[in-house]
Amino acid sequence: MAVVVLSVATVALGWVGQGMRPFTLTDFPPFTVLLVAAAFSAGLRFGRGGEQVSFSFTTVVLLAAIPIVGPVGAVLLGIGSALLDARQGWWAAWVFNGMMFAVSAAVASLVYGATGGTFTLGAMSGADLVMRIGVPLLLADLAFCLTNLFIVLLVSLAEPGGRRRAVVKGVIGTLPFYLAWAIVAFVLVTLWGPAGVGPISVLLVLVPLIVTRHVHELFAGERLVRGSVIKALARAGREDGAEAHGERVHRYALAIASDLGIRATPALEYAMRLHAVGMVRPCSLRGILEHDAKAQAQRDTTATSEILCLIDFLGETCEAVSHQCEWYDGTGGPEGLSGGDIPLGARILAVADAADVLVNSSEDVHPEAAAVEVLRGAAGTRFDPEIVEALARSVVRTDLRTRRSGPLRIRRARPSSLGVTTRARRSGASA
Amino acid sequence: MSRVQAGLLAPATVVVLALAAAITWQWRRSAEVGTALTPENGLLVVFFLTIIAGATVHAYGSDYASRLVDVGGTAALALAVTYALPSGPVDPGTPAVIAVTVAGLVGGGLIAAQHLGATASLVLRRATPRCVAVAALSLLWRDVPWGESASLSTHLPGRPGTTIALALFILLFTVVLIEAPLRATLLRREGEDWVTGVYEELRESVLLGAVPASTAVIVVVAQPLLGLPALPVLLLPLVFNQVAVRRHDEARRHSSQSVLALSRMPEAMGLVRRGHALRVASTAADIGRELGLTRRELAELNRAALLHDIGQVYLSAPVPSGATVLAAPADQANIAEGGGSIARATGVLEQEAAIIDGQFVPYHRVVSHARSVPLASRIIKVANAYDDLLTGASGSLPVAGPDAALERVYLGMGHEYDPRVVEALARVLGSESGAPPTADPPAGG
Repeated sequence: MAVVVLSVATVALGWVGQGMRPFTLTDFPPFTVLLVAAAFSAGLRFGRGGEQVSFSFTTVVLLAAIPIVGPVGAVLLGIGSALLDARQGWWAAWVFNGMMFAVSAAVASLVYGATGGTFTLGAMSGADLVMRIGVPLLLADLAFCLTNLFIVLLVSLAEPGGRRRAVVKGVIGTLPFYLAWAIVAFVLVTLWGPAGVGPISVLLVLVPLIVTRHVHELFAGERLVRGSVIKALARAGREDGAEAHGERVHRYALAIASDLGIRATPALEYAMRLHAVGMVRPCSLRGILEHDAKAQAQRDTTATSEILCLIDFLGETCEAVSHQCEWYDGTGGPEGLSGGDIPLGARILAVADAADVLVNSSEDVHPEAAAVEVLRGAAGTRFDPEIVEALARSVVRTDLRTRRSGPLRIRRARPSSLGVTTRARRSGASA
Repeated sequence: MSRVQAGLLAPATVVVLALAAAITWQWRRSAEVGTALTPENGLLVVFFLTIIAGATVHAYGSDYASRLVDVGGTAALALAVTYALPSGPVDPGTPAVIAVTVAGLVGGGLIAAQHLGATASLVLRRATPRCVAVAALSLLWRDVPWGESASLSTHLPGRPGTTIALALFILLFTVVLIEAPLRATLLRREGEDWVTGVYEELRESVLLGAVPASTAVIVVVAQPLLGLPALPVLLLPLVFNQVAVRRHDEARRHSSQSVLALSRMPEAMGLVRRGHALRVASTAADIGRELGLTRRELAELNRAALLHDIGQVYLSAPVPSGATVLAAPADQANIAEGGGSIARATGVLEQEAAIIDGQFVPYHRVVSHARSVPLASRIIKVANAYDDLLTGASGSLPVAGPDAALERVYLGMGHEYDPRVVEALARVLGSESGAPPTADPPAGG
């Protein structure tokens, strides 16, 4: 349905565009060059494991095509580049993206023509270049972006609100890139026509962008290494249950954080998953209320913090993990901090960790309620009372154990021509 | 004057001298015309500001890494061959081009050095390759005769845009290649021999040289139409590149920290002696460089060496002091396999996992083709044995000193250890005059 509407719109707009500047046989050589460039940009996008980074400059080529091969050429290029995009998995997305590019290119072309953009690229003065190519291209670019946004909004009307917001946010986040693309397209057109460099200008302009994309790929690779090494850290040398324990502790922590209105940061997630790395005997397993000597707590947490505190981006995680055995009344270890002096992450971790141990060792029919009672008994001495109550409230709201696991997967946001986007799909590597 | 500023006196002097030279030179030329508002002066001032700004924001680390692609350096290349502005032809002349480039690149490096703690000599060494390249470029462009005894700067302008762009691109790309041996010499990495360094830098120039070359061509070809105010716009694609490079650097630092953290695990759990992984990685890197491994192979070797003992976290009965050199072959195999499986489970450290797997295989089994083992595994086997012998604490360990340790390694040469690797270790130790290996930070890839 959407595709039919888009097709009709494209044909109508294309017809108007053809009136502005006809597409003729002589346009075929430059059209082919631009098509190859667009296909190169689209087809070489990559995804590696759970990490996906895309840095696509299809928009540059489409915008530059408007003055160079005219509106109809730009529309055909839009369809062509989407069809040559190797990533499209199924034909409906394929056709949809093609038509969306086409309509956006058509609207952009009309805006370009209507705002005084020129289609004859001879020698001209600097002021003419700016007024007759630069400014119209910028407006055309804006129209391109808005058309994209409009179509995506229309399509996502059927989707749940949260996802729609995510898509819109994604489009708005790429606005600065749209501005940059317009500038690069302007440089490309200036070189191609007025400076007389011709088709080679595509190479000159795109080489730095291609290399940039390669660097982005390396970047994604390194992030993948980082994320998976961290996962290996959580797993290495521990009995099989450890990873699942970390996962459950994380879920309790999320519940507590959302009840207290705290943003669940990656640092918090890492703290939960990695809280027992390298520990011979985690403090929660020593009995919830057993009052250990400071020295013992110190020994046990130094190993963990020694490992985790090496890593820059785990700064907060390191802090939380190092102080997980502190008591709220100041009688714990390793530093004997009390109350609010104990990092918030550490206080949440202590409660979440203990909750999971209690729930899993409980014989009660309502293990969570029983666990909360035990935790309440230790509130103010071992645990932060506020956090215990936050957990208690979230236990009442939902039975955490039966909740479906994991947060929502966010589907790859369309449209696919949107500048730079980095997405970490629940890979645990996002930071 | 603080210590940092005092240390940077030499580059500051260079900047002042270069600026003085440029101003004097231009003053004399302006005096001939009768006005200071010449297009050349405008060109030099705008490019100087762009170069110094580009070199300032370009965050080099305090390590030796040099980079080809930066806004300042690329603007300097463009300055050398800019032949026209909207107002007509311009020719600032080679001396002014060089002076402005030196002042801009060194000055920018100087400003950036205040935050990064780079030394005076490092600032100068980093700026030199591009300054030399710009000088060579300017000479080739306007001073060297090319057939019919006319320079390129008189030949080319006026020809079709395609010809100018292609010729400039070839010229610029060639000049960027010249930088490679200079970078290899001035920014030599510790322990790396010169030939390997030149090879690596040349590879980088070939792979990345097209970026500054094409951007500079864009600037030069568009200048006659758009003029100096368009300079930031024309350099825009490069800014994207720099942002990407910076993010990549950060991610790389984090990933190597993560590997380091993972490698600490057996030590933090008290299974292995403190600092063992770092020492083995350092010795292995020395041997690897001695055997001429590439930077990429060295980075793999470094990660694998750091993680070589991680398999010990799986052992039910710990090896005394974690010294695997005297452990039973079955235990050694278990440790290697356990470590390999941890590395493999990451899904990204495949090569490293293969290296860790192979580290327990005795050399005679490699010779008899019972098992093929990467060179890196054989290096780690020797480096590990050496450190175990020197710092282990069980039975007959530790031995009396570096010489005794090396002697024990020699005893296993050919049977247990690869002779090439053992010889390399001996050379490394010989050049260090028998000092025990110290922990170095891991070399960047």
